This record gives sequence, structure tokens and C-alpha cells, in this order.
Amino acid sequence: MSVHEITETRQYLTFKLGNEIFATDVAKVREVLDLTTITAIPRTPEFMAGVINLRGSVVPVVDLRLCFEMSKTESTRNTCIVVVEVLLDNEATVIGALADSVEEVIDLEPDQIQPAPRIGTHLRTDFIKGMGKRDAQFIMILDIDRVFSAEELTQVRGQEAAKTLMEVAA
Amino acid sequence: MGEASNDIDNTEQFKQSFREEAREILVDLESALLELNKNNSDIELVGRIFRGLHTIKGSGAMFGFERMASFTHDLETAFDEVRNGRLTITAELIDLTLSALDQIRAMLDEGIGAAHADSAACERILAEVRRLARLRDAQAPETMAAPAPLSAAKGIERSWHIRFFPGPEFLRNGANPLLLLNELASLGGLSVRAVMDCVPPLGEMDPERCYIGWEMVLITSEDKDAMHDVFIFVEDMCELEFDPEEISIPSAEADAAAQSDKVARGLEESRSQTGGRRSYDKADNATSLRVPAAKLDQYVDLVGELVTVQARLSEMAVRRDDLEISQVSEEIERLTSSLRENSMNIRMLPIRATFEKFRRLVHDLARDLGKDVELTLEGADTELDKTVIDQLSDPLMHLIRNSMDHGIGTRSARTAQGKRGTATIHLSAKHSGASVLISVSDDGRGIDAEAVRARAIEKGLVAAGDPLNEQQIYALLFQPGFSTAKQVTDVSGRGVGMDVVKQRVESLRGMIDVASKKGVGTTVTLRLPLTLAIIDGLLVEVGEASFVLPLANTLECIELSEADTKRANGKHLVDVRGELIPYIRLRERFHVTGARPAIEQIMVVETSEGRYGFVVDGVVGNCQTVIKNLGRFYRHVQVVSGATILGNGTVALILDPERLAQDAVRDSLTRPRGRSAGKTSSRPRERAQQSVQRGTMRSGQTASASPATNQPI
Repeated sequence: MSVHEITETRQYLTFKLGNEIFATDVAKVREVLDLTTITAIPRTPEFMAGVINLRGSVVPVVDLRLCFEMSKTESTRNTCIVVVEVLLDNEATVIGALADSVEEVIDLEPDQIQPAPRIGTHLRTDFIKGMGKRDAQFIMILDIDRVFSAEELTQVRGQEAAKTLMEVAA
Repeated sequence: MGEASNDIDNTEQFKQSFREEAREILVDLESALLELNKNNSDIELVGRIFRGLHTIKGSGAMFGFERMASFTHDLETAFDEVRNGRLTITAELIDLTLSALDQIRAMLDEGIGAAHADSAACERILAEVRRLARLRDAQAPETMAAPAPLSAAKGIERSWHIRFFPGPEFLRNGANPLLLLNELASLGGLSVRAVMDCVPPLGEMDPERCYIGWEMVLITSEDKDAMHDVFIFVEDMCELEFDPEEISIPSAEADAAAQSDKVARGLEESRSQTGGRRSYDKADNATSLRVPAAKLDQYVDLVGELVTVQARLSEMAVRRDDLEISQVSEEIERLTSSLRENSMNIRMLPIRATFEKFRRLVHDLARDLGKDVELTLEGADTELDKTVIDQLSDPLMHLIRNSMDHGIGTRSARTAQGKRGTATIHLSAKHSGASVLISVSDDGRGIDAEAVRARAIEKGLVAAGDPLNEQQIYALLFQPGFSTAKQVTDVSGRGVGMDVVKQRVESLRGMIDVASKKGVGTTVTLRLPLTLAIIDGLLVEVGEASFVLPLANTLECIELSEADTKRANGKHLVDVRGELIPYIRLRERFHVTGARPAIEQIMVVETSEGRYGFVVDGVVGNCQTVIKNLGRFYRHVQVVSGATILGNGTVALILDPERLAQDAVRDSLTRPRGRSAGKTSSRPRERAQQSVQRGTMRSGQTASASPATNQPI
């Protein structure tokens, strides 16, 4: 989905990764949890933080900071898990995303959103649906399905995993 | 029946239950037909087919599948002729009937918008069947001779006393007694008396209950089977008795057949014996019930949740150190444990139905490919989890197709090689510990390892110089798009099938093993877990993390002290009563930081790669765990087969020892030789040899040194 498809006012949940503000369509968000014990899964890439127990079901958690080439998420009082429902290979999947802090829910008009610049951010632009501007702050609107899509994570990252494996083997 | 919408729901429900039943009958019919193909004089089989067709016709009409009923009618007639000895079984008739069954199956699904029966094909089949039925006049004289006593038994008009008492639920289940009585009347002269002794006063009457029974006298030339067939669909729901009346009605024919009357009575007796057996079946039916699989799944899920909660309770009881709570907790633990076993048992089904289905596939493929193939079954009563069975059908189909197309040659090619002209495909199932082994073997050409290798090099899957052992070459067969077939046929050769087999088996946490000998045959064995929902495990700790090892493959638990480690001189080997077992330190494999405890535990686990030890920090204890899937996101994770929620609410991972061992072996294979030269030899085989040598050396030493303390579990 590109920025052109955003034609109506939508609500977005904003959260921080480092100093950057990110946003995701509120319709994708199931709930926001306080940080709980995350069970790491051995021999997986680092950005796959592990799994948590969400009222009896096992939910995978992703370290979003690592997806955007920032350092690993540190556990603080404000660290949250944003539980989103995304489409993975056309299958609705519940995934938790680590965020340094969750800010608020905001309304953005379509004309407040611009296409993501190709360059000028140090982030992977294909994960970004558009840039919103609010007060003097830029808000990066994530294409959350894309961030977690099988293609992105399992192939691109799969190579990383393979690399890790090779390193382990060596 | 309540409101109108409820009515519709009910009808749909009955239709659904009819569909399920009819599908089972169709499978039974297919295997009976194929059986008959081999042994075409078996009158019992003909009877079975006839009854099956009759049920489909009768209940089909009852549930609104009129088209199916009229279509089946002609087939039924044909088999009635066979039953009466007026028509002989030919391969043509069997093939025709088989294709007719396909049409019936399509008609069944019509209601739910799936397939559509091909009307033209139906017409053609019917025309053929009628043509065959007409031929009978020409054959009649020669075939009449043998089954003469049978038809003689039919000629006499007899009077039967029939008691028919529908159960109270009869009407509620959608059956209509009037239709049955009408059908019975069509067999001969019928007089009916309704028994209304049980009808309550109007005020107490439930209009949906059936209170009436019927006593009837039927004068007919048909035998007991024919009468029984009328009630075949409702016999579970009613009381039914057939008694021959003492006086047989004299008729012109009967007089003439007076001589054969004794024969007829003798026959009648033997028939009532089979009738007796059937009533036993009936009792069996009454005590089993049909439950939608979804309800069962829900039940098992709930039991799973209960097991989790129970684990929490036990933990709390231990923490509180309260005797009363402990007692209750133990009681609940016992109950949950039996409940769990019980719920697992409910889901266990024999694999027979899945196996039987392939008779048809083999028959059809053999005909299409012009090959002569026989399917033999073994261990069809082996039980395994329903979900596993459901998932098995596709992979087995691909394996059989592959065998039929590539593995097995034509009759002439086989005889040229000095083999039996008829090839065999053998399907077998057996239990092995907590797994089930299902194998498909053929006595065909076997896999040409060199051809596979050449093809793999051509496809760029392996480099020309790669040293590959047999297993590694066979593993290539399961790569997507891999096929050595010179040409793509309808049956296989696109290289899709084997890939599907691999994926499906892996998703079931199973493994594939291929054994093949050129010119002798191929056996593909699938090793699958018995159940997918709950396992017995051992909770172990590595650093901060908890893991669950499946108890089924765990043999024993041994202490590993710092001294043992030192003595082993960096080699990861441990001596268990003279047997040297390589071990894998999970700490190292999982990059766990922190200090190692002075005494670690080795869990000795049986894998397909041999025995391996997994070194953990400590063993917490037994646990029953509900396996939670890690989901799509973690589907590439190899060494973990799932997760489970512990009593304290955290998630523990369930390790897959099989994969861990394979992974370790693979890593040691890919490790550059130079580096490992100073350490353990990287190749498992060499390592095994080394261990043998070392074993003899060390066993002498261990006599004086403290041997590893064994704690059998």
C-alpha cells in the first residue's frame, strides 16, 4: 500500500524508537502490553526477540529497533510491546513489537501525509508508507504488514540467520 | 421441530451426516469392488456391494439427493442381477461401477457447491450398465447352473412376521416410517397393524417422539436380506425382528419347488446366522457416536488448557507448602493426567481408511500406465492422531504415484529382468516408541543414485566434486522442482510431489528415510509423532532459560562433573556403561552466557542419528506439556518444535532432539577440516570409530576413577 491509497482521515498509534516517532494504523493494533519476560529462541536472528505468553497463547516478539538498524532495545520503565495483527503470507498473525515508549493515538488527514523520501532517512524506506508531520515533528508511518512480511523477514533476514549459522559453525 | 429456520438447520445437518456416511460407504464399496476384481466368485462381496448401493439409494432419496438415488438405482439393479447369479462379474463392470462411484461422490458434493457430477458421463455409465445387464440373457444358461440353489430360495413365497418398533428419537432424526412401510409393501403383500400401547395421554405427549410400533405380515418371494435392506439406514434407531411364519403360503411355484424347500430352509438358517452377526454390529453401532471433528478439537484444546492450569496449581502447592492444597493438587494432577490420556485416545484412529483409499488409486493408475500393480497393506489397524492421519493422505498419494510412475516398470520390462510380472506396492504402518513408522515400498527399479546426482549437478544444486553419501543424494529428491523423469507425465515428473511430501512431513514434526537398491526396489519411510497436541516432557534448565525435552526419546540422565569434562580432554564424549556417547552442550550451542555449574546433567536421547547426550545445567522434573505452535513467524526455526507455558506463566521451548543432533552433525560436517584437526574429528563416522577405540582404552581407567553416576529415569 502506498501513500496514494491513504485518502481518508485515519487514526494512528505513535510510538518511539530512540528519538524517532513512528506510527501505525490503529486498526492493526490489538493491544499494548508492559514488557514481560521474553523467552528467546536459540539460533534465530537477533531481531527476533523471542516469544511471550499472551493469556495462554504464544506470541512472537520482534525487536523493531534492530529492524531499523538501531541498537538492541534496552528494558526501561517505558518499554512496551505493541501487539499487532499482520498478514504473513496472507495469514493473519499476531506479533508483538518492542517499542521504547508508546506515545498517543492521533488523527492524520491525508494531506498531512507525504510519500516517504527515497533518501535522507537512514531507515529502510520500503518499510515506510509515508511521512506525517505534526507540529515540528516528522512521524514515520510504518507499513506494518511489510515490516513483518514473510519476504522481508524470512528471506532477507534468513540470509542473516544463515550467516549466523555459518559463524557458529566456523 | 420448532421454528422454520431450525428446520432448515436440521435438514442440513442430516444431509451432512448422510454425506459423511455415504463417503464411508463409497470407500467400503471401492475396496469391495477391487477385492471382487481379484476374486469374482465371492458372493459375500457382491452382497456387500449391493447393500452399500442400496443404502446410498435409499438414504439418498430420503435426504433429497433424488438424482443420486435414481442414478444408483440402475447400478443396484445390476448388482442384484449379479447376486441372483444372472450376471457375471467382469472387469468391465467393475471399472464401470468404480467410475459410477466417482459420479456419486461428485453428486454428494454438489449440495455444498464443490464438484459437479458430469451428466454426460452419468448417462454413458448408465447406458453401459444397461447394456451389460441386457447381455445377461445370453449368458444366463451357463451361469444359472452354479448359483441355482440361491435363486431357488427366492422363488418361494413365504410369509414373514415383522416387528418394527422405532425408538423415541426416530422422528427427530428425520426418518419417516411411512416411507419404510411403503417400501416394504413393494416387496409383496403386506398387512400392517399399528401397536399403540405406548401412546400416552394427549397432555403428556411430545409430538416429536415416536410412540407407535408396527406388527406386520409380509408375503413375499424375497429373502430376509431384501427386507433387512429396507431398514438398513434406520436399524440403529429401532427394534426390528423378522420371523418366518410357520405356514408357507402354497403357490403354484411353491408346489413345484417343494423339493427344494428343504434346501431353502437350510439356506435360510445360514442366512439368519449372518443376520445374527449383523445384529451384533448393530449393538456396536449403538454404543458409538459420530462427533464433528471440530468439537473434538475444542475438547482437546480445553484439556490442554486444563493441563497448563494444573501445572500452575501444582507449582503453587509446592511453594505454599500447605498439605491440604497439596492433596487437592495431587488429586487434580491424577485426574488431569487420565483426562489427557483419554482425550488423546479419542482422537486416535486406525489408519485403515486412508490406506484403503489407495487401492483405488493404484488400480486406476495401473490401468492408465498399463502396468500390473498390486497393493498390499500391513498394520492398517495402527492407530494415530486424527490430525496426523488427515495430513498423511497427500504425502502418501505422492509417494505411491511416484513409485507407480518411476519405480515400477511395465510387465514386459519386469519379466525381462526376471521379476514377477505383477509389481507390488506395500503400505505398512507400525508403532515405534512415541512415533509411527509409515512406509511405502515397491519392488521396482530402485533409485539410480548416479542419475540423481548428475541431475542435481545439472540443476546446480550441488557442485560436481561434492562428496555425497547415499542419504544426501536421496535428500536431493525432495528438493522443489527436482525430477529425474525424462518426460513429464500426467502422473508425476514435475518435481512437485516429493517437495510436498517433505514439507508436510516436516510440518508434522516427522522425518523421511529413503532406502533403495537399484533393481530391487525402494522404501520410503515416514516417521511421525503419535500425537501433536500434548507431550510428556522433562523440564530442564540452561542458564536462565527453561527447555522441555520430550520424554519419549529420553533414555536416562547422567551427571557430568567438571572432572569428567577434564578427563575427556576436550572431547565431547561420555562413557555410559561401556558405550561412548557424543554429547552436545546446549549452553555452547545456544550461546548462553554465565558460569557453568560444577555438575551438569547429560540427558541421553535416542535419535535417528544414534544416541546423543544433551548437556543441561539441571533437571527440574517431569512435566506434561501442551504444545503451542510457534506460528508462521518462527516456522524456519529448526531446533525447537514448539513452545509451552509453564506454571509460572513464562514460556519454555520444546526442543527437538532429532533436529538438534542433525544440526550438530551438519555443522561438524561443514566445519573446515583444518580447524578441527586438533579437536574431535568432525565426521560422525570417524568420530564413532575414535570413540570405539577410546572406549576400550577408557573403560580400563574408569574402573578406578569414579564412573559417571547413572540415574535411570
